[in-house]
Amino acid sequence: MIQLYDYILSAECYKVRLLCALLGVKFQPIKVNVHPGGDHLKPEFALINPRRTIPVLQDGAHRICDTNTILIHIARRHDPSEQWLPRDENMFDDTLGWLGFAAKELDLLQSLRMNSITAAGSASRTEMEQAHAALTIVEDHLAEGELERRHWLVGKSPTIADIAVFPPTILAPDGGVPLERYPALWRWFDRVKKLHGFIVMPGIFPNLSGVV
Amino acid sequence: MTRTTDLVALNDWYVVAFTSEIPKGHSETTVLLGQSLVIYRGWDGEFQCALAHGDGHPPPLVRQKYGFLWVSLGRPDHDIVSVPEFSEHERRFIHRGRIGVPSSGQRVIENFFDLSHFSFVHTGTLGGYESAEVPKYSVEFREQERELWAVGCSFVQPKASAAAGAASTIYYDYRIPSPFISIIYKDSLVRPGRKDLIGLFIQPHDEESCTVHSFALVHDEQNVSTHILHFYHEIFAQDRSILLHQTPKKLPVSPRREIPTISDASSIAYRRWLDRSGLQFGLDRASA
Amino acid sequence: MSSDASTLTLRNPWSWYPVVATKDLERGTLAPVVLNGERLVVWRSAAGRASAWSDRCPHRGMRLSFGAVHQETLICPYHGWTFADDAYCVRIPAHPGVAPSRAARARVYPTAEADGYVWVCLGEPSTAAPSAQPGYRAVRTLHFSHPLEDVVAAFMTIPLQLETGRAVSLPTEIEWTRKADGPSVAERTIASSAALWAEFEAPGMIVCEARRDGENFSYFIRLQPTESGSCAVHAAWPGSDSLSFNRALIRFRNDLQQPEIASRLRDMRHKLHELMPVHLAGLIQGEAP
Repeated sequence: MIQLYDYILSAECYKVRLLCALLGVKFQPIKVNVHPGGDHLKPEFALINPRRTIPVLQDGAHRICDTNTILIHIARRHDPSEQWLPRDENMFDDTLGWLGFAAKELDLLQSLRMNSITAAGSASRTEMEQAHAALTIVEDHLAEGELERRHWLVGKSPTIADIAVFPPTILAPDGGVPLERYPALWRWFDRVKKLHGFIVMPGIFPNLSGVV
Repeated sequence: MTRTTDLVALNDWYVVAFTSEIPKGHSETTVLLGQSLVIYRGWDGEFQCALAHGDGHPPPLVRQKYGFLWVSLGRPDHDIVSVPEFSEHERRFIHRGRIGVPSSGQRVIENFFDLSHFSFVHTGTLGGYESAEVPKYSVEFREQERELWAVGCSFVQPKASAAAGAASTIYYDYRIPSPFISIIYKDSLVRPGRKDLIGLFIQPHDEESCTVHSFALVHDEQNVSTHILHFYHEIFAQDRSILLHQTPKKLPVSPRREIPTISDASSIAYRRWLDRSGLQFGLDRASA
Repeated sequence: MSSDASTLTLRNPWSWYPVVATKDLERGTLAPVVLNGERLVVWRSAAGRASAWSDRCPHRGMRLSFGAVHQETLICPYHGWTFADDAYCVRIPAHPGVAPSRAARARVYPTAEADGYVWVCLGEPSTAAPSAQPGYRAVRTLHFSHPLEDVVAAFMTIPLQLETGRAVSLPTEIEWTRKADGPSVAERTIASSAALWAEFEAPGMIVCEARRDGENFSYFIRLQPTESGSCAVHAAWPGSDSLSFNRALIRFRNDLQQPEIASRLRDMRHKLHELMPVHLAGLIQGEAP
């Protein structure tokens, strides 16, 4: 069974857990004391991942130390329909483009969130503006998609692009970044939550309709 | 940020750090009740605490107890809360880390002893949709009215702790020995008849933000600490996502402001108890 | 009522404001909305009824917009309190056998649905229904990090550009006309190769007709004051090419963030105040009765 070095409050790890849940892939979590222990920063963890980050995926002898690469790996190995990582050339490029966006432009949202949770500090004005600029890019893209009846980041079905962008954006309020000005994002969150097999993490409210 | 003038708040003890969070020879700045503080740990391991901007106020009182660093900015008329279980050595001590919450400390405490959110906020662990009913419990004052207790609480929990293997009905007592401290005494799933403790020590930075320092004293020899820690962090981060979005952030004391129900007996008592204490800090005293 | 614009409350509660396009609020979904500093949850039941409530559970102050719509009810995510479409609590899961207190009711705001939008009034509505303007299709709601007055000045003076590759057309000459037959004011801007006729149709609503290289197109802008220093723009037009219109709106919003345009905007806003000191606030915000 594949193993995942995991922390319950890491939105990066949640991306992997979410994709596994949606594809029905089982994994064994290896829990890392990120807070307050900082175990991922210690020399012993550098032997597992020299970048000292989580998640890390161990699939047999193969080890992957990067969230986007893990998502690609799981989609290629466990999604024969090729929906989550489309084979179509343009859609493939667009999907990878969003993975890059999630890793780069949305990284600030992730760090603001962890700083806020661990009481390490709050967002500066500049950081707040950068966070909103990144969210506006997603909002504009989703709003344009809706005008063309495209309800996902890439094309008409969810892909790993959605999996990479959903956690940092929906969890923005955890880091003090409000989401009221992003109505198209809000509608997309609702669509993601209604996917068959969807799971939550702390900070994401479940879809209560019909289950209560 | 300005230091509060509320003497009830100033004359209490607050945790400002877990001692091992600050290495020897290091200092840390923090804020308590609107007052900026500099905490310094000497090479002998002892702590000193000074006001960053004195303005003629006396230096803070500093104590180490239960592994935490306690500070009072005023003249406390009582000792730091007594928790004898810290010296019993039959349980495992787990420092759960500090968690920042952009809300009043009182909102955090009230959420901590609230039973009826388990099914909705901690679905699958501390509660389930199909068993949301809250059985009756009672509220008592102890230690000459100094402490508020909710006793005889019970709830059906799918996974009551990291050690739980199956759903069970769990019995609880909640102790609220000061406005910013709450300790739960909860049935151990490992040693029947014994209690696990989970406690929150809140450091209010200002009226609408705080840091929660917390610990657990549990009977659990099987699980590694990290496993137990992840369980607690899951629970606490779920609570935090509620606390982020409650308005007002200060706790309203008037019963007209927020409509209670039967299971809110402890919350009603807590708000009345705070009201009577004369505390102003972190409370919303508007009547309607 | 006072004739001095400065004495009007900046955010007038007596008029209807659009908060979400009908097409953007599907059955069984909700949207958080900020109107004049008030946080609202706007939701549509399974049967299709749209409601706007204070985004605050009467029990413990949790935001209802993090909950969920189930059939004709809205569920709070904190304790599962369930509210019927009259906003009374009908279910408290902690006490299944107990009828909830009548005091357990969410705060309801007057809501209407017309012309492709859900409209909300924070006070007593001065008219039974929002004024209709048929012929325009709601396309996009965008948020602007500018004061409402600046965004009004922008839409009154800078035409949207469907060819987004071009530089923004700043006005070179402005002509203001106050209509004799009502409170509305027409205004004309001429830029180097573009023209814009913009007119207040009703408070907070601007009809624009832009001309570019001999081609005319019109659009309808409805403004929603959100929080201080920002606002939402609900944009509609009669055309079928929604994508071009949306891109023009994005370009317009991004242009306003350019420092040189922002400073011109302040001039325009002052000019508006100079030319229409009495009526401007009323035209932007609606007048209090």
